[in-house]
Amino acid sequence: MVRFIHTADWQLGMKREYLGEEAQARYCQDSFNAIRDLGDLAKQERAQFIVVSGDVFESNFVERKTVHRALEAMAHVQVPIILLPGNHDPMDPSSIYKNKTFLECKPSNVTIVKDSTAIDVSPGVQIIGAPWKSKRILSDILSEACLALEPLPGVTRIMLGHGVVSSLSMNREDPAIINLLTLENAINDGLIHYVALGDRHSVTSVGNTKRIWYSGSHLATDFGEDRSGSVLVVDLDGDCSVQVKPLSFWQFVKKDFLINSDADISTIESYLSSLANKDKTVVRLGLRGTVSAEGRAKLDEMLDNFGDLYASIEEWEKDCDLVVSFGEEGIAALGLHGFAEETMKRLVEESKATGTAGKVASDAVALLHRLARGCTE
Amino acid sequence: MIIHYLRVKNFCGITEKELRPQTKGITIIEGPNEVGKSCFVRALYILLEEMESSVKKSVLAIQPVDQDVGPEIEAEIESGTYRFRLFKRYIKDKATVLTMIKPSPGSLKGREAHNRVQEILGETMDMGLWKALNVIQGESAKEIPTNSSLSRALSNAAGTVTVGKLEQDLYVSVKIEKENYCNSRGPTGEYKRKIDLVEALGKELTELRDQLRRAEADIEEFSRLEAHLRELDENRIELERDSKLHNENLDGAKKLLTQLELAGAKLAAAISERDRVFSDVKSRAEIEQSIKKAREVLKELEEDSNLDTELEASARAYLEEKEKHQSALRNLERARVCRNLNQKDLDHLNRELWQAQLRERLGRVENAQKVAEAAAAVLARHTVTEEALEEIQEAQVKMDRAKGALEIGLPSLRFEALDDIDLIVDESPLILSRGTVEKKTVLDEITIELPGKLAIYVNGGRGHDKLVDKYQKTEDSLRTLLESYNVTDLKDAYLAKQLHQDAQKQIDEYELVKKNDLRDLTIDGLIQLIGQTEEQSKMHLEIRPMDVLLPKDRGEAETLLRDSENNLDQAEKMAKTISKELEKAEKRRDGARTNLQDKESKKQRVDGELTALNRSLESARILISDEELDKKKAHSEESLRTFAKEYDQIKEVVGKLDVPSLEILSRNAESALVSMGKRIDKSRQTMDGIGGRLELYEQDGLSEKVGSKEREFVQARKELASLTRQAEAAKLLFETMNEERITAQMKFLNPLKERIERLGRILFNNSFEVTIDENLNVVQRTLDGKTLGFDQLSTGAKEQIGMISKLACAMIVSNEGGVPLILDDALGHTDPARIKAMDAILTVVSQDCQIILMTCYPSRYTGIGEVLVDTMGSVNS
Repeated sequence: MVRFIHTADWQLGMKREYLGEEAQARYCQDSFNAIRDLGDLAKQERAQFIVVSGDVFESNFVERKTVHRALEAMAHVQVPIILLPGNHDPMDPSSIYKNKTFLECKPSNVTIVKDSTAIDVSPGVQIIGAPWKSKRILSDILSEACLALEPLPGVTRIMLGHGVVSSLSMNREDPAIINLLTLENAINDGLIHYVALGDRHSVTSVGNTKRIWYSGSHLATDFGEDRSGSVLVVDLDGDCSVQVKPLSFWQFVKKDFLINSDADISTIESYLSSLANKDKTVVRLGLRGTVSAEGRAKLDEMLDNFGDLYASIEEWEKDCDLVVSFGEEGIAALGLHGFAEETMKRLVEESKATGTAGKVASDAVALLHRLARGCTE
Repeated sequence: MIIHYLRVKNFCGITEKELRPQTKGITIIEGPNEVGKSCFVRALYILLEEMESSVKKSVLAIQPVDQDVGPEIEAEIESGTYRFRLFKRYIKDKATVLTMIKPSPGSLKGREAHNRVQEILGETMDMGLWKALNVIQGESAKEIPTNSSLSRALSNAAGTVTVGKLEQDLYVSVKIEKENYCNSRGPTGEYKRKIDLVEALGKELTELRDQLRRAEADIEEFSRLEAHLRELDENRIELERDSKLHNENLDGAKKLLTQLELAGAKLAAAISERDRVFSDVKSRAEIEQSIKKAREVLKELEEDSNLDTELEASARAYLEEKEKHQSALRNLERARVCRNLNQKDLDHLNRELWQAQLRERLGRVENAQKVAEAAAAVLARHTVTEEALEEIQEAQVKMDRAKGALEIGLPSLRFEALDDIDLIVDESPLILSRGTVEKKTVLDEITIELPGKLAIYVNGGRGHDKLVDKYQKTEDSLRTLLESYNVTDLKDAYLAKQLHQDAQKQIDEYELVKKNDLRDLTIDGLIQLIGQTEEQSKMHLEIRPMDVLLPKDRGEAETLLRDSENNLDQAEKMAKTISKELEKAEKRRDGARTNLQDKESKKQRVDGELTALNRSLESARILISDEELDKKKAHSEESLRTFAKEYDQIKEVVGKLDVPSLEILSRNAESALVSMGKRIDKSRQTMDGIGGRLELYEQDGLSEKVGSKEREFVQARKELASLTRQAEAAKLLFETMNEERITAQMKFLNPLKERIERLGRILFNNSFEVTIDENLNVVQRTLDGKTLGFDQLSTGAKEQIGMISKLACAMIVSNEGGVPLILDDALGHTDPARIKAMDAILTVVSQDCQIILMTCYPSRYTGIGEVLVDTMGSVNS
């Protein structure tokens, strides 16, 4: 039986623009920590080797320290690691895998798939990869590698590929799309036994063979990913068994709330309080409904406070439609007279408008509230 | 607020003084300067604002000089619903006592009392407005505070809602908030810093993205070059193959060409051999032919004898002609001798004639020489030339003129001979014939002597000395001149001049003779020439043959010469004719001789040639016999055919080759190979350059930098968006509030405007109007349709309108409880007419307000209706 770990899309050196500086550093560090964890998992699961199906690095032009830290983390892993260049880190003239730092510091357990020549990773086990030679490829290189194979009885072949398979692609014209049928035929013909794919950050099994998988990224990278932060432990012994193993904890959460009164603000507060690992959680809030000026102020203060705890928390403007309501009672409570009172009335009226003008007027009313309270205190 | 009672004690220079003004209406406090009128105002301010413990300068200044007492101030005041009496003593024995009268009686002391008063006043009146409305001597006019109770009163008057401190404070806060983001120059503070940061980050990001794009372009270019290089390498291999093939083809062609050349050489050798054999065959045939011909010629020569006969005949003819020729030559010599003699004879006769001519020329020259020598002697004696004669003549004329003048002016003697008579006049004889007349002028004196008989002395007198002198001078001049030319008188001078001319002519003639007769000779030369001719003649006669007679004259000599020359000519012609005949005979003889010799020599030559030919033929046959030579000829022809065939075969193959094209192809292939090498090198160099750049990008971690910068930029932009939203909200709030405030102000300004205009029309006329700004200041006055800015008004008008404004304000706030209006020495710039009008205005205002007027000019307010007058000056203590 062959047991190995399938992972992909580490994209080391990736920056998340919505993360603050400190959170970004944390995220970055966790991407390296996940590699060490992966080594521990391999040891724990007695995996014979690890395949990384492309996009190990975010780019060929990552900082030297990123290369150093990545290789240091890989050195921690005690089994062979097979790295496939993907579209982010293609085997082009600027390839990071030709980089002096990389070559000098590369641990002995790390192997780069430079072409589609078979790599004997262990007795009776071959790895055949289709590395990207440039950022834009003009053919289905994985299928081409498959079609070039001859039957080799007694040998388990694992294909490494990177890109979108035909069943998941919306763009039929893309020449680089991986033909799923070709892969399935090769599996059915016994030419290959497992296809370890990369590019898609969610764990995904494609086709009907149960032998073609996207492992997802080893660390969550964005909203809407399914089981990212996991790896696949694959067993091949005639049959194919794939286990999804969580590896790291970073989450990207999007949550919508409907607010009908200031009381609903406490629901948001409860939700945000309930989430674990806040420092590794990115939250996008979709807020709709109506809130009083006081409620808005309270909400802003609350979000400010949670902002200190979370990796990132923001109102997703696209999904936000929170109207601030300024009731007559609230206005009267301020005790404004004359021009101040007229100002308030006018702005409240303007805040009812849709679009930017209404939002600015709403903000102006909130500001007037705040300043008036300041004057009376 | 209403002041019911005010008392000061030990206050500045005032020992004690109290004031009880009218609660409504006007109270005038009059008194001279420095009596302490203004102290009441100061006292009131200090009492209401300063605690007993105050050590402010304004408080310390109220202590009387050199008195160790505590200044006291006491007042009874009504404000709103409150009425109280407040007492304070400052500096010494400090004390504060508040006695509440209304609404509920009570008493407080110290700080508590002070604070309570502050509370009451804060609640019921506007100190700022009160102070602004008061006119204090020596203080500049204060602006009326717009956030005061006046505003509230104005709002009430305008029917608008009262605006209080909250609104005013809020307005200020809104303005500050807005200016936290933007001021008139644009964004400020954190907002501006954030904008700048986003802009800077945007630029940096753009630059990094550009770098990344360039890097990606480099990668693409590198990949393209790699592919290109592979293609070029393939092309180069193909080119190398082509080049090799072309070179092989060319080498093959060159080898064939060499073979052709070799075959050509063999062919040429075969041709040469054949030609040589043919030549040998031909030579042998020619020798045989020549032998045959020589034999025939030799036979013909031996058989020919005509030439001997011809030689004998021509030799005889030659000898005959030679005899004739010698005879002719002798005749010719004789004729030449004869002619020479005749010629010399003629020359001799001509020479004798010439000798005679030379002697004549010599004689003429010698004669002329003698005449010239005599003429030279004459010339030496007579020096009067033509010019000298003219000079003498001129002197003579001058003298004659002087003499004439003298004679006219001098006495004269007229001798008329009655008979022949001899006289001596001045010792010179004067012979007179009868009837002749002689005239004599008496210069000095004259002596007439009849010899032996009579001597008459006639004296001319001294009356004509000048004429005499002139005459004598001219005479002396003439005499001197004559003497210089060695003549006695003019006549003599004439003669001498003639002799001079003649002598000169003879000398000239001698020169002419020399010229004509001597020519280029001298006399000696001529003599020598004559001698030479004589010698020649003598010599001719000596050598001449004696047997031949000398011709008698030149005519005979010339005739003899002509005859001898004719003879000589004939002899020469004869000799020439005979000489030609001799030459012909000689030629004929020589020709016959030569022909005979030629025949002999030809015979010898042909004989020799024949011998040589026979020898040559024998030698050739020794070398190769005629049979062998024929065989050799056949062999050479066969060889030639063989080599020609071989040559033609190779040539045919070579003819099908296009060697120049093969060379072009070969060169082109090599050139293309070189060019390809250069292209490959160039591509490699470009790749090296790009590779270097790519290494730098890798070292820089460019992509990650872009990611970091993007994150930084997005964060900053997010913060900026938040700030922008806040800034826009603050701006909108301020702008809205400002607009509302102005609108409200314009509303509540109307009551004030109306009051001012109502009061002002009392002072000016019914056309009086004012414009008030948002700060309640009068900014324009319109009178009789003419509008002026406040600053353009006269000092008096400003003072009056200022006063009216304060009075109008006081009237308006009176409904709110009002404030006492204290006017200290006001209207100092107002003329008496307007003072009266102002008095009327004060009367009107006083119906609503408590007014306290302080003045040192009591007459200024005599026009006021109901008034309480308190006079200071003797009030102290």
